[in-house]
Amino acid sequence: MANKDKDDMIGFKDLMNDYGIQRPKVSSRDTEFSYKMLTFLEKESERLGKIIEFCDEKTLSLKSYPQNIKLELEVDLELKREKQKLIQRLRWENSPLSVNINDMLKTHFG
Amino acid sequence: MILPNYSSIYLSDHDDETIFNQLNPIDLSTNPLVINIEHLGESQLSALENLENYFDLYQKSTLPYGVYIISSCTDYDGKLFVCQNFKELPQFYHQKSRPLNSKESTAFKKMKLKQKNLKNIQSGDFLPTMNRYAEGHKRIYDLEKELSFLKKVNQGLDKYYGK
Repeated sequence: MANKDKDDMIGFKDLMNDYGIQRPKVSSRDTEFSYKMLTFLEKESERLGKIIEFCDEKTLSLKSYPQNIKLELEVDLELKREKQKLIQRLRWENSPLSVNINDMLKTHFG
Repeated sequence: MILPNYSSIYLSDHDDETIFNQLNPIDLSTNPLVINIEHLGESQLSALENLENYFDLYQKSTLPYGVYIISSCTDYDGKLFVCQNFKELPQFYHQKSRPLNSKESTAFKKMKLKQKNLKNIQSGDFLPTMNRYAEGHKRIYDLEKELSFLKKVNQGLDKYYGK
């Protein structure tokens, strides 16, 4: 080989020396295992992200727009109305409650 | 680096004090916990009840990881997740620990950051807000139950008076 050609090959000498040497292969099982771990970590991170989003959104919406107070008031009002209606009806003279109490008192005290 | 794998403890007794002493120092925000009570024999059911009370009383959140109980008790139908052996646990958290490469390490750090974020959210006003919400709805349920009873009585009276 001429001197000029030798100079051109300087950068590739190391590569040429290693040519033909068998390098340890990365087995498919190792790669699979590595990806399994990465997938696990990414999936876990994604799952945590979703929980954070849920907790954050829920807390904010429940604090800003509580529904139960208004619902409770509505049910409470309706309950009072029903109670009044019931009491009025039971106070009538011929109501089942009055009739039964009268019967009971008569049988016991004549 | 500790992966979120199962960490397991053996409950030494079924009473409240032991449960408190054993569970209180455990941080539930970093990995799922497996409590083994199989060796307690006949007092397993009592241990399950006390564990349930512990989580209710101290409002320990089981988010983001669950608490699993290993027990041979088959007639329990409470809130806790009970299974017979380790094989029945979700496979997702059965990971082999090993040094992580750079890509995995980045994903791991990201995951850790999210764990901390969630812990901060939970130590803030998440649980009290959710409890207030739950209590409110329980009250509404009770009121609705009373209302439906009164409506039924009123309907009966309607029929009685021939309306």
